[in-house]
Amino acid sequence: MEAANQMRLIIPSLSENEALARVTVGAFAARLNPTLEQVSDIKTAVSEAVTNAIIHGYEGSEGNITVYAAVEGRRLTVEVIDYGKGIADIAEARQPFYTSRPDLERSGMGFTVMETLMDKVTILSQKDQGTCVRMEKEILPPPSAGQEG
Amino acid sequence: MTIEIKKELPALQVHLAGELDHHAAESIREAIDKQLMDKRITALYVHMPEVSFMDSAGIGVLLGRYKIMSQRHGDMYLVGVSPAADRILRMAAVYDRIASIPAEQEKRRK
Repeated sequence: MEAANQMRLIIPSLSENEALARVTVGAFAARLNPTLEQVSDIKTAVSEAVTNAIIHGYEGSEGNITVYAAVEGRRLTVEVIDYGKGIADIAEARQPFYTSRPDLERSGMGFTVMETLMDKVTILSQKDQGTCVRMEKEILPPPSAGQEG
Repeated sequence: MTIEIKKELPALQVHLAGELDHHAAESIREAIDKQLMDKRITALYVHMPEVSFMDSAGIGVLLGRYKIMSQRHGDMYLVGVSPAADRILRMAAVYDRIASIPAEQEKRRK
């Protein structure tokens, strides 16, 4: 088995960095030999978390976002951390179709998408301190690849 | 993300290509809404075979345009949806509201 590995990306809260963040984590996860669909799931989940940090954490103002990722065995862990306003009611934020910003035409599906695509999503948040969204996913090889490993 | 818009009254044909995320959402929304100021447009076709990535920000854009078309009793169709976009559209049950048609079928209509 390969040694555990980790990465950290620190980026300003610009919307153009959403693509950078998801592509970077997708590339980092490549050592687990994920299927195209698994890579797409990871990239989508990261995109949702980073977009939330920009729109809700910083409400469009500038701040830094840390994207941390780690691989241990077959497990990928991704953390998207902002140092912004925090989430007042996490349970409410996780509700499908809930959005604190209907004015921005948000679908309210962000956390639902993350929860659907990843195995486990944990949200740590404190008012005016920031938010950490931790997502975990076991990258299992497709059944047909079982003989090769 | 690139966007190509053609007005073929009473239809508006919108071709999207590339990554449809929050960053791209704003310019797409602006470009489409500018055309939709023309109230004679009663059918909106969004062509998506070349959408390589889409997240929930894309859902927001599509549902927002659907709302505008509904308000004027018009129609909206997603044409030739790529597999990358299809996954999240299903997840968010978008097809319950917006109809999708294969690319060939739309061509026959013209």
